[in-house]
Amino acid sequence: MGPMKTNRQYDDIIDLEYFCHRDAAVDRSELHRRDRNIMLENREQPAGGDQPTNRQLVRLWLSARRGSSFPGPDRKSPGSIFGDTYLLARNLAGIKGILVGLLAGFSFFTYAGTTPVNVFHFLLLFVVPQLVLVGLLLAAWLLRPLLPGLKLPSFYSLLLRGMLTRIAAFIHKRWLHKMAADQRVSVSHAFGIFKARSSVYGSLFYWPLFALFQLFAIGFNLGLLAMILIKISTSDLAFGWQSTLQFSAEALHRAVALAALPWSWFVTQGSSYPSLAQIEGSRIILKEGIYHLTTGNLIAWWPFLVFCLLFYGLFLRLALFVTGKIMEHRSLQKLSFDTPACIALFRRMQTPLLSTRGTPEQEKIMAAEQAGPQVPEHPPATSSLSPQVVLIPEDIQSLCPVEELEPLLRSQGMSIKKIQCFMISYEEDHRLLRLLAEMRWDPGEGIFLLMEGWMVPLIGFLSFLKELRKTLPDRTIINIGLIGRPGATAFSQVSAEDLALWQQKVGALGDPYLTLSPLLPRSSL
Amino acid sequence: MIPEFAILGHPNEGKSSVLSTLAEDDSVRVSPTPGETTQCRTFPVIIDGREVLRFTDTPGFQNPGRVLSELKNRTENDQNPLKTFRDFAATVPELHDDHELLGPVEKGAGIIYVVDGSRPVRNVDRAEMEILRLTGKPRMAILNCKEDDNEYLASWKNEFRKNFNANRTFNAHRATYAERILLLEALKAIDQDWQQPLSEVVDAFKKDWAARNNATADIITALITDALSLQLSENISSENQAEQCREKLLTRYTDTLGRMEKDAHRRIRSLFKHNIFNYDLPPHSVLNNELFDEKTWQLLGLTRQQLVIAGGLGGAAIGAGLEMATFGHGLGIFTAMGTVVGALGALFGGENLADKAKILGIPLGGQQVQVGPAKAIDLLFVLLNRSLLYYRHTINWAHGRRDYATGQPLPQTESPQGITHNWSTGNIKICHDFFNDVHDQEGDNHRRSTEKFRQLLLATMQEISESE
Repeated sequence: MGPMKTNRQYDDIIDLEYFCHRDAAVDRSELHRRDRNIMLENREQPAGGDQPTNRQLVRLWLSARRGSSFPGPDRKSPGSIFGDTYLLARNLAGIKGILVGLLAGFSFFTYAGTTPVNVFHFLLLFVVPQLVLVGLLLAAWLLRPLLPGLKLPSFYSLLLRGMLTRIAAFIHKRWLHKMAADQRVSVSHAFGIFKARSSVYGSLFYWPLFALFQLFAIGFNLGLLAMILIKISTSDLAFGWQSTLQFSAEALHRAVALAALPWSWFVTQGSSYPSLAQIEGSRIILKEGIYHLTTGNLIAWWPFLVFCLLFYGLFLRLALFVTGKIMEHRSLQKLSFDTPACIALFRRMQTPLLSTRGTPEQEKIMAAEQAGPQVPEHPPATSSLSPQVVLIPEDIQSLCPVEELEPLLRSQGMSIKKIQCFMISYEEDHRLLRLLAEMRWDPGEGIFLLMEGWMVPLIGFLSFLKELRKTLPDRTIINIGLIGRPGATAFSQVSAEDLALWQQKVGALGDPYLTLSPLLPRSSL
Repeated sequence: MIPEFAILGHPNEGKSSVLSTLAEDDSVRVSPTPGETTQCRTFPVIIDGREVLRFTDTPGFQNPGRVLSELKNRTENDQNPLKTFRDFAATVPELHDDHELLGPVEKGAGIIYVVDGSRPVRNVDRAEMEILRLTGKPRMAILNCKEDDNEYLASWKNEFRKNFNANRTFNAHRATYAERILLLEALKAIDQDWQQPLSEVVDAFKKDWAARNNATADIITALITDALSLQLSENISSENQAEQCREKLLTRYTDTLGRMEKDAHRRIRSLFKHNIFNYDLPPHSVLNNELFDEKTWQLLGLTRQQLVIAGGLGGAAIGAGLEMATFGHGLGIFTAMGTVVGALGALFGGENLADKAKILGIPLGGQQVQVGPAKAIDLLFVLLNRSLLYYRHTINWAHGRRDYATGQPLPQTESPQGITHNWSTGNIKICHDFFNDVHDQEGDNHRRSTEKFRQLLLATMQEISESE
């Protein structure tokens, strides 16, 4: 997979997030109509008559959505803006690297002809730091797989998420508690969104950044090499070494031979690194000056330095760049579109629009509207329904008959696997958690919590959600359906303010596999 | 030990509003987003420099189920389960609010439990009530209905009976002075030890209120005296200027009256400790209106019959009042005429006097244009009613209320007749005497009639305070 294609995938992810975020406020039946039509209009596109893969569905959907939301070349989607920006950043990183390298080389070799270039200075400035940085990076990579064995979180999340929690705690302590409640809630919500995104995409967005760094380093090494070669061919450079520590020329020769191992096996001894005699001959002793040193010895160092830059700078960076690309590709491949928003999208695209409603009769519709909860008239086909363990608070259990709840859930693509009563007491709720932990969960099954939206979402409930997440198998979707204040039936519309508050509070948990939505579609009022 | 009452409850049930109203402190942070209060805040009641009572605002319960469970586990074999629970909760971040809110209770505070009575009772509420019962502290429940829904009141009261020594309905957004006093009286009942300090507080509250009413009466009396004596004049060289000058003076006269009134109202507002609440009565345009059109009748706050009385008593003054905009020396003739038409006009209302006003508007010649002092008792009634309406609106604007933008009804719609509407002939006569003697600042009559007028104001304000 070429780099272009990889970048397209980043654009897609960003656009997917963007469109899903925009859809959150749109009525469900409208979304269904739109997404199903996208599917129908492009039926021919997925190869063969087979079921299209999730990836294909996402592509299809995104191209249709981009076409309608960002028509024409002058209106760009967030994804393509990211793509363009990234391309620019990549080019800039390379060019900047070359310029910095040229400049660094130029200023280093500005040489008056009185003292030779100190080999140690060159190595300390241009080779050692690069090696140290790479060493740190490799150490970090090596630590990553080791840490899970030590029952520690991965290095990345240890660094980033640990930091995030600490920052959040710090912020909370310093000034969050002084803020008004509504501001406090939205700050926590923003942190929650970030946490959720980083747990879905993991290190995915680390690799493009990594590649940028490598490109800069490659450019830098190229620039520096070019400048050395220019200087060597156009001016008379002398190289020498000196040290207050009285170590012998033999020791230095051994070290140099060791450093030259990567290339000394295919380059002749004379040019791969300086011989012992040349090393002795290029030693600068302050009180003696350089007049007694021979030219042959003074110019013997340069091939070694160029090889050092090539192998420890340029080639190493190229290798890292390629590794980064491979890792990027792998994490893109691993990305499964299994967040609740994606699953709902696939279901909408694959569920036929069904209407069995007769021609409208005005009075009857009015009467029906007063009768009770409204169920959208196009329930999805049973095959795509996701079975749910439904948890209903004890307070409203008697108000929620199964025959009323069932069609409402079906309209959201869910079926009832089992109904459990909860929020009885702290002990009972923990007993329930243990029961859920022991249950067998098939893939695609989820848990649905019916909650009263007009009640304040207490910390106690949010803690219960966290416990529930630990109890359930990984990536099990937790759905929360909100209802309004009970009237004749429990299934009433939740107010927009209450919904917004719940979204913020629950969103602050940063759980990407948790959804919250009104049980009744908003249009039914 | 100073008696302390902690206001406890579920988040967003109006604890801070109740406290804000009870303590007459509109600086308490109140918001529709739950979880506004995260730290306890104490409101001491200080009488003569001595703290006699304190109220404490607390965060809402966040983990009622867990707190109840933990507390129950400790009740069986612990001397002080509340203390050991709080020690434990201090180490659990999720229990921060619960730890905080039980602090005052651990120190021995009485409990005022606030619920929104317009919503149904839930298990979390039952858990909260049981926690409070387990603390064993004296406790009272308050139903603070946020919406007009009485459907659930019975079920709430039923729960309260199991867990509380007393319960009361107290709407933090509408509670009047009288209801605040009643609530404090009711607190006496939950623990005998607190009867004495509470009586002291109630007594101090009442005295304080009476003092504020006295100060208000002084402000209103001074306003009316000043307004009635307000006089503006300007020299003119020719009759041609008269009309123009008259217009100018009238505008200045109206503006000055408006400023005086606004200033008096601001002083009344600060007496009742309103810092954020800022209410302005809509400007009154009686001087620009025909004096006796139907609209003015209502705004005067007098019935037709009362107006006949007022007119008969001061017909001359009413006639003279119409001359406000004319030359001063034309006074005599029209005062005599006014005596007759005053009573007639008052009886029949409207048109005929409006016609007269035009006749009276013709300048009769002279060197000076003068507006005021007001010779009509109308101005007294207009200012009096507006001030009393302002007083009523101010004292009834609960400190816990924050919907300043929406909650300002026009006085006309609130009370079309004004507060003096049902005053007796005796009261009207007191006003009339006060009006007559206003210009005679030195005489005994003036002092007597002013005092009578003040007493009338005080009685009226007391009545307004204790109504509802």
